[in-house]
Amino acid sequence: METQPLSLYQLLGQVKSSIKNNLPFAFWVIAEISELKVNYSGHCYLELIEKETTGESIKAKARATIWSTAFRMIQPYFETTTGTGLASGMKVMVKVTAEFHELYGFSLNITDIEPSYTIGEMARQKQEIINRLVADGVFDMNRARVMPELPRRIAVISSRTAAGFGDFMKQLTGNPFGYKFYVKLFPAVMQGDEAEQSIVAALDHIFSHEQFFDVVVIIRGGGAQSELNCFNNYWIAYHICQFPLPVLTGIGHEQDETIADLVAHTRLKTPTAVAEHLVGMYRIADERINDLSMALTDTVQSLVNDEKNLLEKYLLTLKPGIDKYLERGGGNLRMLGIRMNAAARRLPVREHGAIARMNDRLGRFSGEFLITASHKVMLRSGRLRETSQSFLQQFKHNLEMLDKQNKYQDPFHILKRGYSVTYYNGKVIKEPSSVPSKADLTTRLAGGILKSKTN
Amino acid sequence: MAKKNMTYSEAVTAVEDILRLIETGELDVDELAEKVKQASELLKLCKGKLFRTEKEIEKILKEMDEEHKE
Repeated sequence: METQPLSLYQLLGQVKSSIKNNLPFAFWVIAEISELKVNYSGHCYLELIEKETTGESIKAKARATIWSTAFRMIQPYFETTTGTGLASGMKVMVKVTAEFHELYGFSLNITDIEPSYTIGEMARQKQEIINRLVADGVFDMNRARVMPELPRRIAVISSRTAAGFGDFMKQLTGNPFGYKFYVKLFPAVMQGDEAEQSIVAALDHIFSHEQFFDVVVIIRGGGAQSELNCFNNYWIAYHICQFPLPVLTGIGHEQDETIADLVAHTRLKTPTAVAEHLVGMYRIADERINDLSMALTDTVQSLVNDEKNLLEKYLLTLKPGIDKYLERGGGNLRMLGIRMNAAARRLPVREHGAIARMNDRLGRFSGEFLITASHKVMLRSGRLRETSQSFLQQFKHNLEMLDKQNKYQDPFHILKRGYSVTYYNGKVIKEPSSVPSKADLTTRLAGGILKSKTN
Repeated sequence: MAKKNMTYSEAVTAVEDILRLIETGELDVDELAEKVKQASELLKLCKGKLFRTEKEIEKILKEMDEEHKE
């Protein structure tokens, strides 16, 4: 059939009416948001896509609009239900009508949204990322890092101007105990599309100073509850997992934990809570030092007391013993001296010299002995007992030796053993030839004097 | 001995070791005095780590800031 050519407007008008006729109702559609923009008048413009089930290539794409009247209802509803705002990369279930306009082309008009679909989808995505981290063998790595007992040098990833960073610093540096922390900020974009690259770059930067820092703190600077999605990002989580220092998070949300929280060494709710935690660790360390200090003082005190008591006891038991020994020793020596003098008087004059020398030696010996004794008594406390014991033993031994020696040399004892001394004309007879016959002899025995005559 | 570059954990552990040694009573009087001195030095070092500003660390941080600007 031959027809007149149509104008473009006419053709597009036909497209418009055929869409309207064929798709007159609203449909629930599942799609992914690839772009999202809200303009000054409150209209929300989006691009919806659908990817191939295998891979990243896009098989369908359409523009979509949420007019401001609808958006004012949809946005808060979505956000309170899911805990996050609409954002690119998010899978949504939306109620749409297909529209066509001669000038603006094809577009979907969104009139409603089903947040529970997104929640389920986010949970599924999150679980997928977790599974992937587990499969990669990195999921538990950061949590296995050893947290230093005193985290003094802290690398912070945050945005410089964020209120959360200010709270963190105030809490940390203004701690009431006066603890000293060293904080270095590695600024990063903490939300939106740039966050992944920015946070990973900050981690890399800290990594180049790894030996210097004790811990890494990732805090988000407050702001909207939305835009947390970057903390569910695989690459950020992957870097946190493998970071050689323990990572503490204070991302500032009350809802579900993000993946960054799950893989971090220590997860805290807010930047302030992270600071409190760090101050708390110092507090524990401080108390430990105080406890040790007290334990040390107590132990040493009781040890010194024990030692003192023991020494006093030793001295108390030892002193009378020593006195007694010295007294007895002195007594013995005096007795010996007296007896020797007595014995000597009974001996001929020429023996007097030897006896006097012996007496002298005895005196010197006992004098020396007493000096040594008193010196040794003053010996240091630790070795007092052993030294005194061995000293006493030696002392006793010396006394016994002395006693024995004297006994053998005392003429009286010699006589007692059956020896005798015989005099002729008042002189001791040493040679039989020195005595003539018929001479009067006097023999001294232990029991007395015996007179006799040679034949 | 109390070394300057000892970490808090190392120092605290060293004090605990000394304390154990004293408590078991294996120390001679002369050694005791030496060990007690050592322990109190270590504890002082630990306290210092909590409160004192270390010039060395601040210097490194400053260098890092400058490097960052470039």
